[in-house]
Amino acid sequence: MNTQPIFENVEIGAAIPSLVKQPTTQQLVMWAGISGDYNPIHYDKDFALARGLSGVVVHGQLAMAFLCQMLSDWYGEKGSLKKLNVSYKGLNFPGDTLTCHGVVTDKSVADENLVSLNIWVENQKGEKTVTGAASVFLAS
Amino acid sequence: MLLSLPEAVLHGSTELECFELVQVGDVVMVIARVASVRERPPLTFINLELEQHNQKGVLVARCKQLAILRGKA
Repeated sequence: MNTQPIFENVEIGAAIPSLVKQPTTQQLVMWAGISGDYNPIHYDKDFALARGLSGVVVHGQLAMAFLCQMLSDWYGEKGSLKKLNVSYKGLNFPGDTLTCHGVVTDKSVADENLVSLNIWVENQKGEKTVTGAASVFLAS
Repeated sequence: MLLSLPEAVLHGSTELECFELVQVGDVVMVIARVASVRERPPLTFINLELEQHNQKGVLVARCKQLAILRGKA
């Protein structure tokens, strides 16, 4: 459990605690159910292979949710997410080891204690498969 | 959020803005619209804009999704 970060103590350039996820095919089925995204490339291996993929792929928004989990684990109960932008740059597969990263890029008192971060998902090959930015409110 | 789109759709990007916290018991209504469709064969790019309001009519979040299709929409 991380300690509650305080806006004044956050330093630009600092990394927030990373989060490691290892998605499974069961998790993809669960995500399909909760998100309503039943694209067969996420659960039907034969369908995915016929589409030229090497197997079923992780939903992009599940990878985005991993980033959200990393952020909420960090900002805690007194913080909140204000903005999030992500681009899906590469495919993730069940069995991959995905590490979510975040680095503080800016902070603004004038803008209601907002902290800006670069965020990304990196696979076990060091490839950034999801990249983006977030703005988070932190309490003083 | 992409329920009505064909199976060959991929996500390109997501943008999310949160304006109000959603509380337990709130009723949230989502309105989605197709903001633009751009064809660059063999791909088609569809921008979707979604707005979420609570039961008081307050805008709680706004989301943009880029969907990428093989072929025409």
